[in-house]
Amino acid sequence: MSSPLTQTVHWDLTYDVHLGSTWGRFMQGLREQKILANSCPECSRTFVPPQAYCESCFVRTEQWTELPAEGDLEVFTVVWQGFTGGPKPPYAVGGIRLAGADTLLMHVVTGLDFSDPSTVRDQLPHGSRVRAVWAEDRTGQILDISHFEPAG
Amino acid sequence: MTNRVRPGPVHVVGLSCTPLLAEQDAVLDELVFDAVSAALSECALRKSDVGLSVLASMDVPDGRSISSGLTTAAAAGYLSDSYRLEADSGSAVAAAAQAVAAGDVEIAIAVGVHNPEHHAEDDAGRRRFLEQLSNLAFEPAFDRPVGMTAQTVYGMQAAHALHSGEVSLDDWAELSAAAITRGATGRRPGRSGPVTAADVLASAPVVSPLLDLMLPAPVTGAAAVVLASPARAARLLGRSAVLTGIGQATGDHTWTGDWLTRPGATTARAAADAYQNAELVDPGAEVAVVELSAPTPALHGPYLAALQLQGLAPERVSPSGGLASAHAGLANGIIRLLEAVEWLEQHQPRGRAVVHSVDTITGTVSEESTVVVVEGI
Ligand SMILES: [Zn+2]
Repeated sequence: MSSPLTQTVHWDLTYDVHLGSTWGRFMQGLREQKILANSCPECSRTFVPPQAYCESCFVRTEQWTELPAEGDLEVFTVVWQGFTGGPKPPYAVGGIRLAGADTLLMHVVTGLDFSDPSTVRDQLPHGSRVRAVWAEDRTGQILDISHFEPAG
Repeated sequence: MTNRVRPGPVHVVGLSCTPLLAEQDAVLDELVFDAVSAALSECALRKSDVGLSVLASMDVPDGRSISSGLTTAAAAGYLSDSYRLEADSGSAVAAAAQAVAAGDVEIAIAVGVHNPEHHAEDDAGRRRFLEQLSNLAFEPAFDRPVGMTAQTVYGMQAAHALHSGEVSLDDWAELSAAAITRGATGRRPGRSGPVTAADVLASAPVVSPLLDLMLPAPVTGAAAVVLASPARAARLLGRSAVLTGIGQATGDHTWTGDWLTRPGATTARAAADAYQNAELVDPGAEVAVVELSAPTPALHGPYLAALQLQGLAPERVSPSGGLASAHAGLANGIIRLLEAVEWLEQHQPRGRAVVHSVDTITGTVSEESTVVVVEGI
């Protein structure tokens, strides 16, 4: 097929996404290398990312606690073909259950040898311990945790 | 988070789909017009007969911040009742059916269009753009900056499923190869075939453990369905099928993890409602065929189990080849309905089919699932 006629259109929008007090407090914590979680007073689940309210009990969350910057890597995938504007593949993204949390925090995972795609899955088995590596310059955003690396 | 849709019987009288191509040399509204006018022609209806049109499309792939401003008229909505949903077209079918069942209108149209405004030389290039849009759909404070996309979600769900030990990569390669091969001889192939399991296993890794030929074949196009009340349908030519049950449900956020460990839960909730509407008691025995929307072979089993159709013969599960053969984004829900109705017309004119569709914008995270029971008459 010959290329259809198209016209290039570019959108360039800068948003200032409001964090609110709950996520704002979490992001401030990251600047100080602290991972802050909050909990539901009714079902006692502990949330990271913190939640302003518990969606199942439908009540405001209350108690804040600091969690260790370590947890279990419940799952990960290696991205071999990424997306326009995204990180350069290959890279790994995983779901981490921080010690003391009932939820999954998604983040970049390092420490994998990407030379053979078929062996990558076994390098960090389900439940491997990982720890947060802090970015040098922290500005109150999730990438203040640069990535998670194997803790073993 | 379940939307109960109680239809009286709603008749399908027109169904149409544009050619499904890698890229369309057309403006978005031209595709919508082609699908809608062809669907109306099937039942010899005109624009003035349409009481409501519901369009499924999404601004970001459409490259316009209110793309329905362009497409409403093409959906037969000019100066009449019309609205747009940013959801899979299965949701548009549910909404249109609801209006007919409630007696609000006699004739309603649902249409879905998917033609991302992006030119690429190959599927990998198309996916890079769709994945960029998917990343933008994730929550901007936590998930977007760490690279979450639909495919990373599918990769993680597949990795989690493999860990269970109950499925294997070889099983998935067989499933994908069979689906692509079936689809290649069908009416709307996006991929050519035949393809073997070895071909699938030899295809490029995309998001481990998923390989290129395990992921949907990205195609573009539009599809439309014309729905009618029983009284009106009795006087119309066109298709002879009736929607007897519809259910819809929405999945959960990233942090809960349900998308990972219970990926069929959303579909199960949608199916429970649809089956109750349709008075379907024993789906395994009463359903002839299912058009399933499994974006990866790792979701094939969980979705089938959620639909209580795991006992169905393999050739009765997405005879069209499903998403492995061709996946037209938000137009998918109506295309699955079309495939199911055509299968009934050819094989069991009085049979019963289940149509399953999901949006794939953020993978199984926040997934919307629609289940429709359709019967030949
Ligand atoms: Zn709670």
